[in-house]
Amino acid sequence: MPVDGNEISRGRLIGYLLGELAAEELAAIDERVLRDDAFAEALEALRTDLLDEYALGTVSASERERIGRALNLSGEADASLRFARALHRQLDRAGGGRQRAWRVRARWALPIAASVLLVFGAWRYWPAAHESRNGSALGRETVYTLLLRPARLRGAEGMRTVQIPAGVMTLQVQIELRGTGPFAEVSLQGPGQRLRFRHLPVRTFSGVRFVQFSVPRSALQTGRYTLEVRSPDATEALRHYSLWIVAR
Amino acid sequence: MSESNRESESGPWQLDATALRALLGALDADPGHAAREYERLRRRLVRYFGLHGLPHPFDAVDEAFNRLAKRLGEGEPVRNVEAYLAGIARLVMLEQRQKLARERQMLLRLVDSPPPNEEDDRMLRALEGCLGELSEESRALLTRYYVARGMERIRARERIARELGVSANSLRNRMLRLRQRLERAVRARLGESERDGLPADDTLNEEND
Repeated sequence: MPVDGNEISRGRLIGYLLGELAAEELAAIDERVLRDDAFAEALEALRTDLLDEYALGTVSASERERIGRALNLSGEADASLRFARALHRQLDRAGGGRQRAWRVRARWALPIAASVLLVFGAWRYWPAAHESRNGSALGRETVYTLLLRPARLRGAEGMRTVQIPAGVMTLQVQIELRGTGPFAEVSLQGPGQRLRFRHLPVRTFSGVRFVQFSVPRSALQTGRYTLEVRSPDATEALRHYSLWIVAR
Repeated sequence: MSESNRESESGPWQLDATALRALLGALDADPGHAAREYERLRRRLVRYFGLHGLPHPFDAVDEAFNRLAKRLGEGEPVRNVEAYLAGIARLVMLEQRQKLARERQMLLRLVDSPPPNEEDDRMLRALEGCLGELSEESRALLTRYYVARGMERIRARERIARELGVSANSLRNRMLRLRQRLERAVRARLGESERDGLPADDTLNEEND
């Protein structure tokens, strides 16, 4: 039996929903969903967590695409996705922000205090315990965070150089916003590619409003990148950032 | 003459008394038990199709049962109904997902814009109303259960389970059911069709949390 107890890893659930597992394993899981309520509920709960991660934008761009397909989302207007976003906005308002304040301070203290253009923090990020316990291939992932602040970047500051250190797996970009809308749209155009992140939920931590997205290191090449931020409701003025990313 | 040709001449296959008898007979020799087994499988199929993101799981369930009944009515020997039904369910799911993908492609040609903000505002207002119908305890529990991220999420959930004196699985199921009821209630307020919920009433009855 390929599935033990009620446990199935996040990665395998995505593989199952995408039909990427071996035919016998797909059939075994299908059959068990119809036979074992506890197992089916565990999958449902894991699927809900995946939906939340997608809705909150806490996954990398490549994983986001896979999760979107696995969950069979119809796009940003998908009803389940809209519900997940709305739920988290309400729950954050109800007290989640306070619980996470210490992490926010850690993330934002340096850029605010130094008031510098870019702050690069690389830290070890451990994926959720249930992934590693089930032998997820993700393992440890080094995330490199780029914080963009409007006050220093608006205008003609010219191109900024971003050197991504060796060993970094994911570039995470956080963009501080001045507008009031609940969502923002970001496009990143670079050598031979254009990534577009639509309807990114705006987060608020310690009074700072920002959106966040991630790009896997493997998707980046050294070269000039143009990053555009706008909000669909026009509460956020269109802004451009020019970056020279060194991704050796 | 092929099966598809026969169908095209006489219209799509419909569940008839013979096929229904064959279906119930395959589930259990006792009609009462067979009916209960049918209902149990039906609920599980709804969950299966919801898991795979089908927006109209009940239609898919009917289609799966119809196909099973048709095969049985034609005299096909089925030793393990659940396994056989699981195979049918996978085919139906894949067909429906392909159909949905085609429909979405067609829609994308017509519309390429995110939902207007007023839609999200309506959702937020409906959710606020529905959350207001929950007890203070349930609201606090939902907040604690869902707001944490990453490792903190796992730890927070373990902490809540310990505080409540229940297993992590029991807490997980309780929160999942509460969230599903909340989503159904919000959909009902907005007049939207249900996507992936199990059959239930549209109220936020918390007795079974």
